[in-house]
Amino acid sequence: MSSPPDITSRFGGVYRRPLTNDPSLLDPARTTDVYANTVVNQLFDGLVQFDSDLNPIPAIAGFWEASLDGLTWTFHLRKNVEFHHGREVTAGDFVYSFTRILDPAIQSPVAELFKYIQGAEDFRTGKTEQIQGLKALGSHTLEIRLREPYAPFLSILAMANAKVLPREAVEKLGEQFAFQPVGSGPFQFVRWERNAEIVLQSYNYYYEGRPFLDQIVFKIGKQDVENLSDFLEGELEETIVPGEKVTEIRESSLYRPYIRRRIPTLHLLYVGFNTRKEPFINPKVRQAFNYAINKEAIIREIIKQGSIIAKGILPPGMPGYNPDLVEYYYNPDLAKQLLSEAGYPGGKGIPIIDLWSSSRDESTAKVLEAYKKDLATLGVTVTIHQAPDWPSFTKLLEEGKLSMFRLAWYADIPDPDNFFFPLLYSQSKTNRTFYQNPQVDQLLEQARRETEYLKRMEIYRRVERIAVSDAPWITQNHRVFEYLYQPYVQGVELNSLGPHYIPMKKIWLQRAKEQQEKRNP
Amino acid sequence: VKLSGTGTLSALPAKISQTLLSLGTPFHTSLQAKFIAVIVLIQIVLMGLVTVVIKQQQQEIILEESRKRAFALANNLAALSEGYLLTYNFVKLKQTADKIAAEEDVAYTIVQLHNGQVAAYSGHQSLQGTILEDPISQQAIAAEKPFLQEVTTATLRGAGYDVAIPVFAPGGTRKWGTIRIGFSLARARQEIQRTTRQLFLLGVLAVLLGTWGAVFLARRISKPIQQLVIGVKKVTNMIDTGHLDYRMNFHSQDELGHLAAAFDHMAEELQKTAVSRDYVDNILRSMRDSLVVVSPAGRMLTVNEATCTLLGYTENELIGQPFATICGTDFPDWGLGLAVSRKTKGISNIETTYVTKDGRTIPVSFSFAVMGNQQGMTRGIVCVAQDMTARKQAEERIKASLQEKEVLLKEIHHRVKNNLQVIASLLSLQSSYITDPKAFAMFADTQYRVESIALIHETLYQAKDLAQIDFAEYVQHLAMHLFRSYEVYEDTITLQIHVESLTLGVDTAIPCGLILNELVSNALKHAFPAGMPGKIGIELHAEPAQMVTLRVWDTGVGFPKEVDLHHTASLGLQLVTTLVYQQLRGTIALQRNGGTVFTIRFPIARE
Repeated sequence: MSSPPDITSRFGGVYRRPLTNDPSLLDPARTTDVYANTVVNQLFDGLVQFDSDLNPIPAIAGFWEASLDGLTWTFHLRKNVEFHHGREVTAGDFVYSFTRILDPAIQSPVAELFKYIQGAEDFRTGKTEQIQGLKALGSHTLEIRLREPYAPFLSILAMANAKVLPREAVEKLGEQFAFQPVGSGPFQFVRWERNAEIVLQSYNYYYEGRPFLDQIVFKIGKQDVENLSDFLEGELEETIVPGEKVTEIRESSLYRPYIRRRIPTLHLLYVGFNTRKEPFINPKVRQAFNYAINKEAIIREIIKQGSIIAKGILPPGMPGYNPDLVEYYYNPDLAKQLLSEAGYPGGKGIPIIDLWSSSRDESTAKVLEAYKKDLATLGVTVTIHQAPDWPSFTKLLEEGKLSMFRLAWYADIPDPDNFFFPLLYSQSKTNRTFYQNPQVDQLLEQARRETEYLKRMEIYRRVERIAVSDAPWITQNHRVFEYLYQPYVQGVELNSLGPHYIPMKKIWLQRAKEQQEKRNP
Repeated sequence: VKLSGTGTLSALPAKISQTLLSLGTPFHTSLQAKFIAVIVLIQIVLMGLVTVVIKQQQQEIILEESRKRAFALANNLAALSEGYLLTYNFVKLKQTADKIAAEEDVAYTIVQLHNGQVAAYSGHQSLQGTILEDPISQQAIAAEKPFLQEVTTATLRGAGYDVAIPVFAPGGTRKWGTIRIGFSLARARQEIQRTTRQLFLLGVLAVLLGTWGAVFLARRISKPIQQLVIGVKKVTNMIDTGHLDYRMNFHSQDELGHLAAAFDHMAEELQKTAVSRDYVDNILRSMRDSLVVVSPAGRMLTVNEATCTLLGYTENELIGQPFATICGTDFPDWGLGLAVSRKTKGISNIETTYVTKDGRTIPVSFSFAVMGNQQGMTRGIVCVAQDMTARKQAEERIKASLQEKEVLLKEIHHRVKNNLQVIASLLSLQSSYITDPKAFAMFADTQYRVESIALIHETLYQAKDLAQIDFAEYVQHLAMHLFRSYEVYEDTITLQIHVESLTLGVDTAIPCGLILNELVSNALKHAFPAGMPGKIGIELHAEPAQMVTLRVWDTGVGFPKEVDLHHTASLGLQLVTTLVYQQLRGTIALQRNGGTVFTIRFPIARE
């Protein structure tokens, strides 16, 4: 038996991490963006969590059982798990937290995912005060009964949205809870300076023992290139490698000392159309735009190494990914023809298109310029707009004011449902294109109930084919994230959900030990 | 093991067998047969052991492989099932279990929940949800770590393993469930049986090959040995009569080759020196002289028959006894030990004595030689003694007869002298009647001549040696006698005699005596007339080459010049020359320069 490593030397240090945009809020039930999830995942814990292969493994629930019909799930909670304000987490807290997700007033983007809990519909329509299928059988036993078998149910419980919240704190703070959250995660909230930084500190009474890092400081709002230069000056512990810098960083000896990690991510970058707004109500216009954009050139010349061209919707690595999908390709003639068929020959009659994004990245600007240029060949005029910040951008999207916008989607669970349902289901809060296809809705619901894996995947392939054909967007690329870490950063566990699901409780700094040694020679 | 000697013998080449049989020796337990028997026995025992050990090992290896495979399959199923167990995906659990159950050797796969409830059971979907009550299942679901049970059940078609792998989730608070597989050993058993069969066949093959090798080797080794045996027997005279010319002529680089070469060399050496015990014994037996070999410590090692006969002992009575036992009292007291210590090579023919068993002393002519080995160490002393009894007796007899003859000879000389003296007296008496001075002188001359011969015989019988005359003494006597006879006194004529002490035989002495008588008489009569003083000299000395010079001189008037020595009428001188030339075979010279010198040279013949 090898002796366990001396982990006492791993404790300490501040981890400074860039956050591209300011989160809109830090209430797990309501987050829709990766920026919020990045922070929420450190502050809160759920029943289960993902391991690095995205399998759900125990978190606050140390053990669970399921009935043979897969409908009744009994979770046995660990004892002595405490919220940051000192109270033990009980089964009742989960009943409260999950009920809150289903509460229509909360407008949780994942409410749809919890509708399979027995009695959820009755609760949402106000027929019942409580959810029938959610029961605390004791202070440490939670029973969840499902209306029908739901395959990805356990994974959903590992999502950033399915965290446990202390009722009294939520009720006491009200709306303010989303800006000074209280959880039971490895780190606790210190402060949030909007558009500048969020500071978390280690939670000493975390059930697994306090995390290694003393503090996490999220540096908000800088472009990737700026972050890279801060990183090189030692101001950050990690940074995303900007796509256009991938080759340089790979080859230049300047970057040799740093730890470079690369992982394909379950991610989709798309330019959406508001299908409720002209001229995008007409699918032929959307298709014409798809044929007009030379995605291949954009990725080759601007985005460069950091990405894989998006043929359809699902990224490689996601179950159901279809490598044989018939895609849109660069064909300006066909684009013109389709546009003319739609009633806009030579682009006549098409209003000036406002193309929005929240990114301040130089490369994004270049990409949008390329869109502008490509669409100009159709006779379409494009104006590029940049939202001042993420929350206001989100607000504009929610209000359906934007007709064409650049957005990205990160999977929260390794399940195709997590792409199609949030983005294409008519009632989804994150369906930014307002895409509406009853057949798709019906197929998505059917897929959720399907327990036979292959049958489920077949349904998703059908959904994907329909959605590609309907073209509510131009799916541009799947990102292969590359990160640079300072050489002293240890314990980073990447997974394909993306950077927001890196468990920061496992990160430790070699430098912390050295600093300690300097302090106490 | 049934390998009778004759059976093996028949396997030998006919030629060798025949040779062996012709030797009349019981060769049915020959070296070759023993060799083959032992090798084959060892092989069978060894192969038996090896087969058993390898079989055991193979069995263990196969079983170990089976265990490993069972564990590998179970672990595989556990790894595949873990995620599905956590998500309670019973469909997937069943599919996975069925997939692993389709693997070779796997009789069943079971996935059980933490409470023992069956989540999946390959081929027994109806059992899902039930609790398995059998003791094997009870043991399996209680396992907290990978657990293997050796069981024999109908589902396993005999013996097999039930491997249970408990599933724990990372961070989980309790065991999630148990994965079990039933691993049938039917195929492993078949393999063990096949291995055993193959091993047995291999063993038999190895023994056969080994036997063939042993026979080949045995022949290769025993053939030259048999040749050697035949050779040794031939050479040592066991067959026929000493075939020292037998050669093995076997050439090989190994020890046998060296042995054969050494044997051939030995035979050759034997043949060359022709030394055999018998040969030496024959020589010793046929020796008429006594031969005793004495050890450096003085003990008798070998005595021959002659010794025993001579001394009246038997051989056994002498062997090992000190050599002193047979030595006489006059045996040289330096002994043989001294000879050995001084590294004397030996000594020849000393006269000494041996003593017989009954105490008689036997004179012997004794010789010994020290016998050394190549390193110069003394191995013994070879003593040879010749019985001298007969010779001694003969010698005594000869001595007695010689004495007798001497007395007789003395008597003869005495009587011849007396007779001559009588003749001289008769001449003297007769001359007293002669008046004629010339005749008187002739009578006197004759009388003197006879007396000089008589003087020789007198000298002879008074001498120790009857054949030899001390001539110096004789010359003295003769000269004195002549001086007296011629009445010459020494105060007028002095006599100078220089005669070397020299003995002459009678044949020489008598002519010399007569010559001296004539020459001295002549000088006394004629050299010094009328009382003239002078000297007369007689010299005799030996010269080289057996020559003797006799010189007679005087200082008288000198020999008349007209007289020729060789043609003279004088009877005296005629007598002198005749005696010189004919009796002595010498020469005579005369010098006449103031006195006379006669020089006579003659050879003396020694015996």
